Amino acid sequence: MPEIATAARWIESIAAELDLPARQLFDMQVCLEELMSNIVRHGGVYASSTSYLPQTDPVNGLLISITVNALADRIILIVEDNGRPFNVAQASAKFIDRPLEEVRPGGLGIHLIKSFANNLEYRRTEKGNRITIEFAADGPFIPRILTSRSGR
Amino acid sequence: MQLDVAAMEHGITKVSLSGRLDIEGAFKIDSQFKKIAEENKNVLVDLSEVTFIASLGVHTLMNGAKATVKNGGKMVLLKPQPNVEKVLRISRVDTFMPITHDLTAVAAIFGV
Repeated sequence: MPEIATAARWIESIAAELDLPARQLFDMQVCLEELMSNIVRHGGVYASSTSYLPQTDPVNGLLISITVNALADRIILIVEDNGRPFNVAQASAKFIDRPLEEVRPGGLGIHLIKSFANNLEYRRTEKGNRITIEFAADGPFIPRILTSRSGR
Repeated sequence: MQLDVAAMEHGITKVSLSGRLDIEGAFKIDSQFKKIAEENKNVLVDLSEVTFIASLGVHTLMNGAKATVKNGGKMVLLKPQPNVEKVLRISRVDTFMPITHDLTAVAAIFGV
């Protein structure tokens, strides 16, 4: 999934522009990687076709749009996609709470998102899924004009 | 993502990782890392040069730890950077993969 690496680099450039501390960039990149891999696995064209839910746009494929909104006291990361509904805010989160041999993949990414985000909201829109994640700013800084870019 | 292997005293195998243990990084090293763990008992993973980790990277480490436990050994994580350590502790992998910043304490942790 080279798109995730591209998105991570883009967030890096935004963080440099905003002069964000490395810790904040790291938190945002963890959430972005987990969200995007969830979207690709659960909302994409390769997901099960047995669902009655709307299919991904057959012309454009899976589109993911990322917006960073820097306010005085917080950073807001908005990730939108045109895939099948997946409510990340209600998805079950799992950390490692059982003997090693019983540990199975799944749920850890959601746990990380919920641990790193100060606030997480999900909304199903006409266009698809919209996830809003808020991160408290380490210190006050000058608000910036909303910056956005789309990826595919 | 780069992976280097070296033999230490007391039969400990040291695996040094460097770069981003993100989705791409995890896919790149996953099978090699698991193979090393399957072929050894006590594996020390030096994370000091790992700058990023997310859930797939954690699973790569966990799969390796499972293999060492099957061999009657364990996996120990050495010197993770603060942000990486935060992910590891939030994931609670430290309950079965001890994390240390002290190389001189490693042999005692392995019990060798």
